[in-house]
Amino acid sequence: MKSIFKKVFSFLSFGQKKTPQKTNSMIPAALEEQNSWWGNFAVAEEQSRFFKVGQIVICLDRYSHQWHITTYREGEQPFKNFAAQATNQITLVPTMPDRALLSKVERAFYIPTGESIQLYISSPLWIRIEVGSPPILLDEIPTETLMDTWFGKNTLEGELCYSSQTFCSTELDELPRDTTRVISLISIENRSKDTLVLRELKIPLPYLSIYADKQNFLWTEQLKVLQEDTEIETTIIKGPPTTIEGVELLTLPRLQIKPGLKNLFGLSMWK
Amino acid sequence: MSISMPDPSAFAKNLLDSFEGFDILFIIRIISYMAIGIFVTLYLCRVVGRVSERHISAHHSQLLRRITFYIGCILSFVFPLKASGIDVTALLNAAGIAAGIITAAVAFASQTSISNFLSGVFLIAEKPFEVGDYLVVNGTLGEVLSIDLLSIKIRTKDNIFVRIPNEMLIKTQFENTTRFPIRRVDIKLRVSFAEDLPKLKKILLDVARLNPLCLSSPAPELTFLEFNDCSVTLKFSVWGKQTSFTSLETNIQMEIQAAMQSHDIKLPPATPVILASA
Repeated sequence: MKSIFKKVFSFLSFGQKKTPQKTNSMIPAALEEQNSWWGNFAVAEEQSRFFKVGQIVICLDRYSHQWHITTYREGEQPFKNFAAQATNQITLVPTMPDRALLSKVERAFYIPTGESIQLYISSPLWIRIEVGSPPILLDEIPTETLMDTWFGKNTLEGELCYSSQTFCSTELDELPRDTTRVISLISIENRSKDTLVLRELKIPLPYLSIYADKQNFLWTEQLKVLQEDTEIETTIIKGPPTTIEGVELLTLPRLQIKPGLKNLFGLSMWK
Repeated sequence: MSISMPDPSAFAKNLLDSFEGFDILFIIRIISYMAIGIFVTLYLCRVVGRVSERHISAHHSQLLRRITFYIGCILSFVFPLKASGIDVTALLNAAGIAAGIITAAVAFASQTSISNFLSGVFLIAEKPFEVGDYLVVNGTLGEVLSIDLLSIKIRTKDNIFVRIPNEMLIKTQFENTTRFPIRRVDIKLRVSFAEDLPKLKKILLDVARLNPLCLSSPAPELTFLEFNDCSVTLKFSVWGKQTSFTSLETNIQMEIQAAMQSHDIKLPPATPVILASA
């Protein structure tokens, strides 16, 4: 209420319109945690709307021809100003990070020759903010800060990835259920001569879609990985995971798989 | 054996005959055709540049534009004369034979230019760098602005224009600092001989772990280099994205200095301190 009053006052006052400085104290004390934070939302002119997504809070302020997007993270309050068409509809969409994610497994998995394993892996998401129809992208906000890392045979061949400590388990119930993370079911089969010791996984997030189930938990396609002696064969099984019912497609992949694309999936292991 | 040279005067006579009964409009027409030809050439160069930039590298695109320009200019000069009934064959023949004689003389005199030209061709084929890369050539660091037939042009970080002959690049070693997406920062540290090195290693690794520009893989590394008088020299290596190399190099060293100060780790004195016994 205080912030609304401030905005109305500054609009009526003469002289240059001042934008109120964002502080943590302006976040409403009882911020409703929504079941699903994504979707279309109406924000009237000179109004604000807050969204709690995991550990971050996003504040959307609408003015006549501007949107202000403020992200509240620990100790950080950046303020972004977007010139946008006059519309009161804003859309929040879960989207994948723009790079693959290198996930370090908490405890190493040992996969003997001829054996296979099914892993549920939870990865962090980004939030895509759009306005209007057709949608115009305003901003993409990571739900958690991801560090940069390199994944490859050596410093010459490889790619830049994001690094994150991952929740990984063979049992779905052991994973924390969080609407800001997406779960991938990955089957790994060891067809090589040696035991596979799994410590790190490179998950090709930009090539995966996002589905939501009935409880608003998010999923990607299922991945099938065959570890041979000299190479890894990866298959992304199109469509929603077959083990989950009633899923709805929310977001298409950022990137399309081109023929001949190699090293889609990566394993870092010690034999 | 005699070589029959076309008579330049025949060309001149032909030219004058062509102008017989001419009026000023005739010359204006020829000049207009040439001007139109030049405008069309310039427009074509722009189109070639725009289309080629999408498919080939920037310096190949630049070269293609220049070749298109030179060919366009030659055609813009020759065709209007031909279309106006002026016989340019004699001129071209005379030019061809004269060129043959001159070529031998020019080739001998321009060995360096030819060497630079051929070096340029090899550089373009080999592609050790591209426009936009940062090169270190004989101690000069700069961004490659263009790769031309005889030389490359670079701009140093303090905005100085440097021209480097292609021959020099073929003959000497140069470094392309922006070729690969990641790069390592090496920091030399000289610490006191009595310092707790495992504790120092932990401090340095913590600094690297908390720095957002520092990659977690390849992992940061501390290497023991050598013993000195009253001190040891260590090398702390961290990896970062090539695009943020300078920021990482500065930030991490400032953070290391702050961390060492907060843990009361001092650098050894520059000269050994000799204590005299009583």
